[in-house]
Amino acid sequence: MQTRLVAGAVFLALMLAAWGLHVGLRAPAPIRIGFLHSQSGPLADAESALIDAERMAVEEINARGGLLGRPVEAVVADGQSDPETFARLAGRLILKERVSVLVGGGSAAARRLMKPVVEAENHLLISPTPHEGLELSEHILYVGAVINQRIVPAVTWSLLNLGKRFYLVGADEIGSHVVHAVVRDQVKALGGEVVGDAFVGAGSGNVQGAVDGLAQAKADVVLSSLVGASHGSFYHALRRFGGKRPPVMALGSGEHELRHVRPEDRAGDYVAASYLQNIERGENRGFLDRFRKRYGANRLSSDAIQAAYVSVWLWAQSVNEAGTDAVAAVRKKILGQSRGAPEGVVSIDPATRHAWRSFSIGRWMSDGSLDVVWTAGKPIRPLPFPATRSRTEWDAFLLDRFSGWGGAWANPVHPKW
Amino acid sequence: MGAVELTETRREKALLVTVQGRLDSATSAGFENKLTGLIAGGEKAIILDCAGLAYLSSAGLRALLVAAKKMKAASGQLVISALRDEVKEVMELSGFTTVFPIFASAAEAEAGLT
Repeated sequence: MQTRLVAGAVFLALMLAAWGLHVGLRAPAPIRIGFLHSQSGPLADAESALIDAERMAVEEINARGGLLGRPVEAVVADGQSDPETFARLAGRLILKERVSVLVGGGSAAARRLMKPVVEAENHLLISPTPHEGLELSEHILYVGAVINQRIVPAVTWSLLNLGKRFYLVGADEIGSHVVHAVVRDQVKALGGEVVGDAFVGAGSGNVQGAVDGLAQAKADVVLSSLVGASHGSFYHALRRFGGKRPPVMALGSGEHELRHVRPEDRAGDYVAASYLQNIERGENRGFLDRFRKRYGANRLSSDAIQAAYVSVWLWAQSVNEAGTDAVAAVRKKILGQSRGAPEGVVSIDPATRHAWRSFSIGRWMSDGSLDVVWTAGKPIRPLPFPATRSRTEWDAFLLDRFSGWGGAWANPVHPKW
Repeated sequence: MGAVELTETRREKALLVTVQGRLDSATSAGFENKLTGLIAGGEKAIILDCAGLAYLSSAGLRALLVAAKKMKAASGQLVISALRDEVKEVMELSGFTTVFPIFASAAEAEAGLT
């Protein structure tokens, strides 16, 4: 009896020791970060590259020991170029995958449908892509440049350097509709003229109407806020002018997004963005070296790719400062963040939760490179509500489009891919 | 109805044009004519000192844009200095602070001329 008791006690002690050892040696639970962009559909080519940059940031963070002694784990979901899928997956990542933050979106329509989801779940979405503004949310950090940081200076620069007759072409969703409205206001105020405009389904290759309109317009410059696969179709269709056409100023889409366009089809055209790959900065050279080492020597970067990378680092800095990955604490800490990014210093404006962003204009050369022809000397303050109209007028504008499209942020007339 | 006064001072590297008053729909045409006349007359470097500029309307912005284009065509430099906060905000909202060379003072502007 006594022997059995001793044996039982020894067994119990061994079990407790083993459990203690297990607890002591168990790897700390990872902090999960959700990446939600299109990996399929017409927006996948542009957006899937954002995931690459975000993954690289996570790998760098983990190589430095992770956050708060815990590894960071990426959970990736495919928005499928469909705003409603984005909204559904945002909910799944938050509720089922228990991510600590979402970095995601691409189109304005997708972000606007994710907004009520992250707000209802009291969560945090970081939006790295350029956007139309007219929106504030305590649950969204807007790293992507807003209209006054890219469109407005691009228009003024174009008036000064290219001419005063503008033709506008954009995606038929809320983002480009706001861009066109702001450009119309600004061009009119500064003595120019919008001589035509056209909208193409987001990522659609059906650009014939836009090119036909340009043929009639006698424009000095084309401002393009097209997205995804529309770029390639548009530049290809412009060949019909045989080189005798106005230059295109692409707003926010750069080296990566336009890489499928033949160099001879875009030579002499422009890109206006917060970041250009050829910006001379040590941080940019380091970023490109690491990006190419990770993904191949021929990989190209762009404004959105760089912003996606910076977004993850801004969140990581906030977690470290907060001493927790709890959403509420990180949402507060992220407002004071600043980072020496490849483009320049990116810092968060606490009042608007938008980032101060740089601005450059590049011109495509015949060899396919993009020369930087203008760089603003310092980052531009974010102004989410363009001053050309009142807040009430902008609200009415949004409501008009939303209700006109049957309760959607993209024109439903275009077929889904 | 406002008025604008322009005073010219020859500096070592540029012509300093001091702007006093308001640039609005009533005064901008005269301002534009004055500047474009200077550029047509061969001025290659003009500093617009705006410490005394109290108001800038879109008509004033248009006049500035026209003058800047003329100067660019002449391969010269038109720079702006000493903006008041309220005028600077108008320029910021319209993208001018990003696209135009703007300096804190006329001395800095002159030093910044190439």
